[in-house]
Amino acid sequence: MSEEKSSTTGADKMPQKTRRFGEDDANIVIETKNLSKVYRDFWGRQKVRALKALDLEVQKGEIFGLLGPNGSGKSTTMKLLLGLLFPSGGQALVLGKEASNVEKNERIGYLPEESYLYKFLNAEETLDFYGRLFDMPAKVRRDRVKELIEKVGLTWARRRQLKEYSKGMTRRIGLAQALINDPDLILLDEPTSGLDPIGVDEMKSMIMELKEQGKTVVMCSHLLTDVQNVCDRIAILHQGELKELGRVDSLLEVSDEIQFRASGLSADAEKEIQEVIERHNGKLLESGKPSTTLQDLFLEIVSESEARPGRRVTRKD
Amino acid sequence: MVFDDSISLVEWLSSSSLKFIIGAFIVAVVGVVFSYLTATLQYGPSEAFYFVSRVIFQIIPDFVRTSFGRIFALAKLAVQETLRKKIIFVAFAIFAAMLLGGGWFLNANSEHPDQVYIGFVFFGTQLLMGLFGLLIATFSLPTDIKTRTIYTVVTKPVRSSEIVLGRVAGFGFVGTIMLFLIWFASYLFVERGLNHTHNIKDVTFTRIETKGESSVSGGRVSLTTEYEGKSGLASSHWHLIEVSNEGLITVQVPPEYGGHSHDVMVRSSKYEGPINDRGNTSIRASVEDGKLIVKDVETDEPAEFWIGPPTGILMARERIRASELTFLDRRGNEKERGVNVGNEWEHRSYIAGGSSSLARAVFTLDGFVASKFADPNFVQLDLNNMSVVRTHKGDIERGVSGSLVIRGVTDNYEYRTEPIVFEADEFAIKTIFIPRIQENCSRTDLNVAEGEFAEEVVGSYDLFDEIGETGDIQVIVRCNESGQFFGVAMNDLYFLTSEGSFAWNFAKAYFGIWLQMMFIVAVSVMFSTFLSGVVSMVAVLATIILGCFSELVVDLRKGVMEGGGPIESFYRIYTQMNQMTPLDEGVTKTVIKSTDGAFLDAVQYLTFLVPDFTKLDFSEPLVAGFNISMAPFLIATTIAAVFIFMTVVIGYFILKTREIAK
Repeated sequence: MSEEKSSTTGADKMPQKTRRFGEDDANIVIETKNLSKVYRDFWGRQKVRALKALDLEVQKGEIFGLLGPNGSGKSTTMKLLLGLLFPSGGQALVLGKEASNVEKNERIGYLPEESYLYKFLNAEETLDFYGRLFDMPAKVRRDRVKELIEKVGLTWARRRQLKEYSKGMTRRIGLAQALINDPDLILLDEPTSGLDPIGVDEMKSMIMELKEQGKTVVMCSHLLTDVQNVCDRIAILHQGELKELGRVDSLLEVSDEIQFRASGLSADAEKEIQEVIERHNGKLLESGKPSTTLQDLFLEIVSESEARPGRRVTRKD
Repeated sequence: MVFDDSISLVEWLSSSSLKFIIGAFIVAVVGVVFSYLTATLQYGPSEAFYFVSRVIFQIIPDFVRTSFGRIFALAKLAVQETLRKKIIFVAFAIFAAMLLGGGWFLNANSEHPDQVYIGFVFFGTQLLMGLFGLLIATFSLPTDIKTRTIYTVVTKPVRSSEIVLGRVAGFGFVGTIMLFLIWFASYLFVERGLNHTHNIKDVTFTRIETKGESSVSGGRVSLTTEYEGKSGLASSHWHLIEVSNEGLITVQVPPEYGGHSHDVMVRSSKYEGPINDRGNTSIRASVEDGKLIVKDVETDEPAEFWIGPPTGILMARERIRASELTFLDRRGNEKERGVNVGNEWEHRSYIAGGSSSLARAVFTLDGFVASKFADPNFVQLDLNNMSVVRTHKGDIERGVSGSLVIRGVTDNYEYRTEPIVFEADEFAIKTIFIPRIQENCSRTDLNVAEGEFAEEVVGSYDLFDEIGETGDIQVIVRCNESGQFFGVAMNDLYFLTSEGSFAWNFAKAYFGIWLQMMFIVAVSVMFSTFLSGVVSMVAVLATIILGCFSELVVDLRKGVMEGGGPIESFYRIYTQMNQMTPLDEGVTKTVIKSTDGAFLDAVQYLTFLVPDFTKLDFSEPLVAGFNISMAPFLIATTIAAVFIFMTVVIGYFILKTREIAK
């Protein structure tokens, strides 16, 4: 994590590397070390280097966002963590087990980008099928199916085949299948994609609810406002490299500007500030460092990364 | 290929286990090397070694932890997919259309209508089930990978073995249901198409002047005909019905509608069954004013009578077959094969006839014991489709005369029955009834001192307790007429022990189709773990073709089949040389033989990787009307089970070592 340390966004953005890779730690849910992926053609020639030496740790109970433009490697990272792809180099541990180990899937829920579900099944059959894959007892399965269908608001359409579902409905049932086993770790690929504004809001609420239940959520999304609203920490990838990693609030802090929102100051201070503000017919409520938007931060990182490929972004204070 | 049910499962296993082990070893080595090379291209040689080794060591734990619940879930999904996509309904509709078309075009007036009907539905079912298994199983997994629906499955705690097994089980289940429906429909089609009866009550009988012997297949006694009449018309044919002066009735096989006869059934207060049966001692028939009268001769009470269902078709005959066939040439020298009369593809060998010829066909039969026979007091010997070649017309009105002798050798004696003379029926079953007690049978004492003359005693001996005391007998066949030849093969002579159920035999034959379908499904799933749907289909078809011709390849390699390999065949075609002519010695022959040998060796090793499909095909005994015995049934099941298991392991290995995502 040497590059991570060189970042000027502060030590709070990154986990302290005081432990060795793979060492038992109940708080570490995902851990990668030099994780790399090279796509090759039939003859073994390198086509694309999709991921370059990714070092990452995701803590238990946090909502972690993976951001990046198209082709940045975030989907590849997700697939490597799920065991859908095999790493060309490095290692990935998920819930303390190798990513290729199917036993880890007992505690994982995954919502793919397009809700890849069997269209000839209805909602109940879909959830029942995925429940059976976890060897859930029949009664538990039935109760869980009913509960999840109600939770995602599809009770009225539970007997309709998925081929008749709209994209939003498919996303909802996709989320339900990801939660069928009451997982500890949920991986969401573009969770708000295809949802209407109300659906987006509901999805975000559900993600926050999962966090409240102590679940760990890893999501990748293009909709930066969604990420900004729900994620505790984010990693920004570009061209297969980790460009930024840290807490959202720290990353979005604008260090060369001050913003006030205060109460209970001393009378003198209040008077002095108030005088200034009153000259402009206002009232001082708070003070502090203002935030930019994640959208601005993202664009800044991408443009700098393109200007200086292969280097970690260094941001001005 | 001639269906062979003479080998037991244990004998077959002992002779085939080496082939199995070689096949399994080749599969394992090829699989590991292929996986390593593929992984090397992706990850480099050292990473690939680690990767493949890890998968090998995970095979056993993965199979141990296999969950039947998950297999059931995946199987159920496969069933739902097939049903919801309406594939099964389309397939069944095709079969129904085939039966409808068959009903119109099949010729019930052919010589063997049962063979036409059974052959039609059996081949149709084989084709349909093969295509059905192929289409549903080859496209499913590639479609899941292409549409990425597999992502949501493999990210659950599902093992590769469960994905492969679930699909095989699911598609197999759907295929089983479909095959069961087709079996039922086929049975009804055959049974209803061929089962019929005729009117006998309105038949007018006339007295015939010439009396003669009449021995009928399915009958029990020889009769002297006194009256005859034509039965009512049914299924486009009628039968000549003969009433003997003993009061029994025979329904003759019609010449233009071969293969079947009927029993005349009677019912009175004392007896119900065929009038010609030995158990019937009281009911007899007579003709008064041209009309048939049937009554109990003791009480003078009239009996009901009617023509029963057809006999001689839709059979499932149990038999004791020859385990060995050897020949004696004209001079009495022992030979492996008889005379070749010119047709090199003919599997029969010929013996020359005539009083001066010592040519014989010697059939050796094991397990000849009384307990196997339904009626051991009168055993039935069948000569099935024995071939006759006439070098001169002779008496064209009757068959060529032959005779047979039953020979048995015990520790002390050698027995030989009096020659049993018969007329050969070509392309038909010649039935000979042999009484248990053999009159005029010769017994030669084998315990004679050297130089002394062996005493030969002619007398009555028991076929089972004396002649066949050891359970082994020989039937020695000769052709009596000079200039004529009998052609025989091992399956041409057998003792009919009992009559099994045709419906059950039909079901057993369809079990063979089920095994074929299950293998096709398993192979299709295996190929679809790493190939696209269309390419998988081509690979499965190639496997089936190789499986169908594996015996031919082995025979070609062993030199049993004349004509050689591809290069030799091409050379013979080019030089217009027939297959029996030996190639001239020289460089050309050496080059041709060695090239063909290398090619056939390679193809022969390939055949080790696929099952012999002909072993899973029971159509031949079913069509010929023989009961499918347990041995080929168990052998076929073992072959299918082993190969299905192998394909599941290979499918698991490939799925485990491949990346699901792109």
